[in-house]
Amino acid sequence: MHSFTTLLRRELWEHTSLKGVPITLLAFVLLANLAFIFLLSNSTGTLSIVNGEEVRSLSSYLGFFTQLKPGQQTAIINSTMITTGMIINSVLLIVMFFYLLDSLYGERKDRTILFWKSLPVSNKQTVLSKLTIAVIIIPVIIFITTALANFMTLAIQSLVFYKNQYAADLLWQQTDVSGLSMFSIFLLIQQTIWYFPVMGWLLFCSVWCRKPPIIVAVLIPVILVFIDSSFMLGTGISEILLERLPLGIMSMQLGNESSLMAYNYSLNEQQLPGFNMSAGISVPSIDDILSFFMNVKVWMGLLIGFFFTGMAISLRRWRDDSL
Amino acid sequence: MKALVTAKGLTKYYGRFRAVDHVDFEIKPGRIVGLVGPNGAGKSTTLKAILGLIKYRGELEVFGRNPRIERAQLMHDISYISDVASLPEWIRVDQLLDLMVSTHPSYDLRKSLNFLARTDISKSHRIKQLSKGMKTQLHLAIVMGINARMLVLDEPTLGLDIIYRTEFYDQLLNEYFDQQRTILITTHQIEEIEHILTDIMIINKGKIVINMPIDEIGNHYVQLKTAKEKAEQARKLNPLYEKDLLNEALMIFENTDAHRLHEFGEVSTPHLADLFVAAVKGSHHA
Repeated sequence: MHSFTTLLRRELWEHTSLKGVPITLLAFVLLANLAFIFLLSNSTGTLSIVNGEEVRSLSSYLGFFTQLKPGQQTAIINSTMITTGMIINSVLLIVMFFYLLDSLYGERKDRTILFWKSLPVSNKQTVLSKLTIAVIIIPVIIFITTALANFMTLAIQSLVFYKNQYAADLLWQQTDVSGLSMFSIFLLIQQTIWYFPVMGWLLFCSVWCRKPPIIVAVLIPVILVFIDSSFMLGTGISEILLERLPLGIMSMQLGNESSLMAYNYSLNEQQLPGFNMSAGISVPSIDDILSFFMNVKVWMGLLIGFFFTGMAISLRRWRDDSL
Repeated sequence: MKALVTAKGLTKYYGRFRAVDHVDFEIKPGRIVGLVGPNGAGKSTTLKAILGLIKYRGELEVFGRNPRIERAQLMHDISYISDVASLPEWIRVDQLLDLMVSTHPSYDLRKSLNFLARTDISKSHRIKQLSKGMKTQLHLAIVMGINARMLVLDEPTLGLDIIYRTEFYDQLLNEYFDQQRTILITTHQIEEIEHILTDIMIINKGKIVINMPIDEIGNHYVQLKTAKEKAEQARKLNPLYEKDLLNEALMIFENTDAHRLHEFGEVSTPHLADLFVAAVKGSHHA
């Protein structure tokens, strides 16, 4: 176990993007907040029309917010936070994609595989450590980065509220921390399970390919979809592949039947004039969770993911420094 | 004494190319074995088979284990240095030491630190900041800490200057080797390891052409330096190898009565470098 945690640390040492990208995203959120406040503070013209009223300055914007009903205030805060979370999630899923593709190919490319194989560490441990980064560590990083980004936004916004003589604690009172946290955690679990076969496939390509694996990893699914749809074979493989491909939380929220969450994007009674979105967050019930796990696609995906992971372990046994 | 490594009919194909061709050998404990051969002779392939890094045909037993399926367990007993390029460039020295402590159950960090204290390598250095010589020193420091029964070195001094090469082997001999440990070294620069070897295996075109303890070479091979005018007669004794010197000819004979050669000139035990050339060219002509 001690050596396994060291293998995880080794992945974080090597793949600096797993730390660098979240820090960059946090810096971007900070800058976006500051730019937003700066623009509102120094504006002279109309910035936006909200609820039929012109927003011309920071104080008019804050005034509008404080006049909303508590539920509507929560809705705006939730929308902002979820949007931030979706951006962070999508960017880090791209990082995960390239991490998995490079994880077992890079060691052959730079010939360090001979050093790694000189350690008393099995191929199973090595491959599973890389899978653990994708399945556990990156979702944890997404959660922490999102939480920090949202905390930073709240802190900056409440400072602005305070400076403009509004009740700064209004923001904190109307923030649904537990609801948002549960929402993020369940969504990240669902997302990880849903993308597990893709992760296994990327790991397999990383150890299998003798050329940069991105070509094969992308080309084979594209060719399969092309053949299936061009010749109208009706194998269903196109649907299976396409529903696993889109990145980010959005893909699972928009009518995906395997969706565990019910984040309602349709307009409802909480729709806010001028804000074309609603803000209902509902944490899944036991029935929702059961129906997700009763879905045959979930289990097929897990089986395929484990199959590709097993293949990656088996193939790495015979990989040396020759590409 | 039971052999640590036993190979019977070890064969390795890359496509249709036969890199190692039905070789048999044993490596006994407490020996320093040189596996030497020209480029592409099959040295690294043989090592990779011993280390469980490649598929092969034939029988191979290392520390009583099958390296094909028990590589990770084998690495408790074997320490391996390929060459200076195999250390990950991005890692810091302290991270590397941390990794060794966590993954090697019998790793002694103090031994590595004691060795490193005598170098210019700092724990905060990244590998990419180190010169080739420093990387070799670091690798050696790591090896010092591993309580392995066998050390496998594959061209460990490739690309190093003569100072570092000499220092590497001196330190290896003086500070690492003892009668409990075994070292297996591959190189094509035989002259730099001949003084430390106890056994030699010369491999050419995938076949082992010479395999014996160094102190038995004199029983099997004889070197003759003879004047040019006597060379023709000596040649009738069928030398394995011959080369022209300034006014003399140098011949190497295999399993020949040394007393018969005395009448032609100076007889001695051949240097490993000459024997290496003789074995390679001899097998080439065969």
